Amino acid sequence: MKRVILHVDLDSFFATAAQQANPNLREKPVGIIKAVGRTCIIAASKEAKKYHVKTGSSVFEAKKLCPSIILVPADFEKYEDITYRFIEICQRYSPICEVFSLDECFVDITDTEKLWGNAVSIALEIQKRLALEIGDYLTCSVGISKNRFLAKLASTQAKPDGIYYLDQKSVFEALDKAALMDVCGIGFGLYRRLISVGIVNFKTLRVCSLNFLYKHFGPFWSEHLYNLARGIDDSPVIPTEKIAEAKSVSRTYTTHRNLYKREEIEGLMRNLCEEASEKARKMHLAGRYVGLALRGIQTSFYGHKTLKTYIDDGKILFKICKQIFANWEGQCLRFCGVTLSMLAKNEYQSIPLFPQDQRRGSLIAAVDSINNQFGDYTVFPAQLLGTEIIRPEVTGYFGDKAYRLKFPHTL
Amino acid sequence: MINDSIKVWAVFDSGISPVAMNWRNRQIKFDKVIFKTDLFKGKTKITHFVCTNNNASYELEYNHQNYLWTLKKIMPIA
Repeated sequence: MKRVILHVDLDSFFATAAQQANPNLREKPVGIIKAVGRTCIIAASKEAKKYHVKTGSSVFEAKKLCPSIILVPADFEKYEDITYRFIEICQRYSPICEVFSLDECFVDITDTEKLWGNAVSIALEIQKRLALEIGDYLTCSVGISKNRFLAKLASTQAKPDGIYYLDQKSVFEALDKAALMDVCGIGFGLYRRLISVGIVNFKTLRVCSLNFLYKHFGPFWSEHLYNLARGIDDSPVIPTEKIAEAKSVSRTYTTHRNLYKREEIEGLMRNLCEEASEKARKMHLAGRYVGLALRGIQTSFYGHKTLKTYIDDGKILFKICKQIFANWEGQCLRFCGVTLSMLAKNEYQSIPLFPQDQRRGSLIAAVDSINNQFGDYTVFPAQLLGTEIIRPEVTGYFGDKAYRLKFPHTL
Repeated sequence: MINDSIKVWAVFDSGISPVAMNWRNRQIKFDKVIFKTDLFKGKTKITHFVCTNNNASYELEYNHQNYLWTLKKIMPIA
C-alpha cells in the first residue's frame, strides 16, 4: 500500500516564538542567542535570514551582515511548551506521529487520510490550528510524500508557510535541485567522503553503481546512499509510545568563558552529574558506564570507566568523573559532557548492605521528592553553593525526547 | 521585569482569558490575548499570557496554586 507521510516543520521556530510573544519584534531581523553575552546565533528570524544570517553564525558576523539585528536570549521553557502543543495538534490527524525534533513532526496519514478528505486538507488544517491555538505569527511548512525522506525534502521546498506535495514523477527533479548536505542523513563527514570520490550532487550519486558505493562506503552506507539518490526510504514513522528505552543519559554544557580554576570545572561537572543521574532515576534506570567529555582551546578529551555495579547517584557519578578528570591535561575548559550509559532498570541494583548506604538511598529519594514538588534544584549539593546553577533545558534537536515525551513538563 | 501583584478580570471557560487588569490604581483593558504558555515549577503550573491593546503588550503570569496574578513586563507598541 502506498504510504502518505507528512513532514510538518515550524518556520524559524525559536525566532518566530519570540516574535509571537513580543509584537515589537515582528517583521524585524531577530537573532536568538542562548543567553545574554553569548556569541552564537542559535536561530534567526526570516527577516534576518534575508541578510544571510543563519543558525551557527557568530554575533559579530551577524551584526556585520545585518547591523539592525535584535538579539534575544532563548526561552527554552517557552519553546518546550509550544512543542508539546504542536505535537498535540499533529497527533489529532493520526496516532502515528513521530516527534523528530523540537519543531518537526512526521505524521503517517496512510490510514487516516480519507477521514479528513486528503493530505492537503490535513496540511491546511494543521496550519490553521497552529495559528488559532498557539499563535497567528507562528507558521509551519508541510511536505507531503510517500516516505519520510521525501516528505522532509518536500517541506524544505514549501518554506515558509507553504505546502508541497512531492509525487513520484518529481522525485528526481527535486533531488537534483537539492545539495547533498541539504538532505537528512548526509552529514559533514559523509559529504567529505562523497566529494573525495567525485560525487558532488544527487545526479552523480545516482549514476554510481551499488558495487562502486560498496567499495567506498561499506555495506550500510552504500545501500543507504543508493536508496537516497532514488528517493527510496522504508523507515517507519515511530510514534512516542514506540520510542525505544533510553540507552544512555547525558548532559553537556558549553561555557560562555574559559574555565581555568579546578573548583569551577569540578562545580560544573557536579552540576551535570546531578542532572544526568536525576534523569536516570526519573526513568527508573541506573548505569554502569561513565563517560566524561572535555574540550578546551585546541584540546579535547574523552575518558570513560566501566563499573561493576549500577549507579544512579549524582555524588558517586561525580566521584568517578573526578577520577577520569585526573587524566585531563588541558589548561582551560569550554565544554563538558557527562554520560551514564549501559543502563538497566534500577531495580537490578544491589540492595545496600550497610546502614549508611541505606540512609543515602533514603536521602536521594527525599531530595528527589522535594525537587519534584517545588522545582529542580530546590535542594542541591552544597558544592554548587555560590555557583550559577545550570538547569535542565531542551535542545533544538530534542535529543532526549525519549525522556521528555514520556515525562512532559519536567522543567 | 516589573513583578507587581495585580488584580485581573479573566474569563475561566475551557481555558483562561484575561480581559482587564488593575495595576497601580489604573484599569487597563486588553483587546486580545496573543500568546499563552504553560510552565511548571515543580508541581506548580504557571501560565504566562501576552495581552495587547492599542498602547502596549503586557506579559502576565498566573500561578495555578495560589491563584495570584503578576505583571511581568510591559512592552509599549513602537
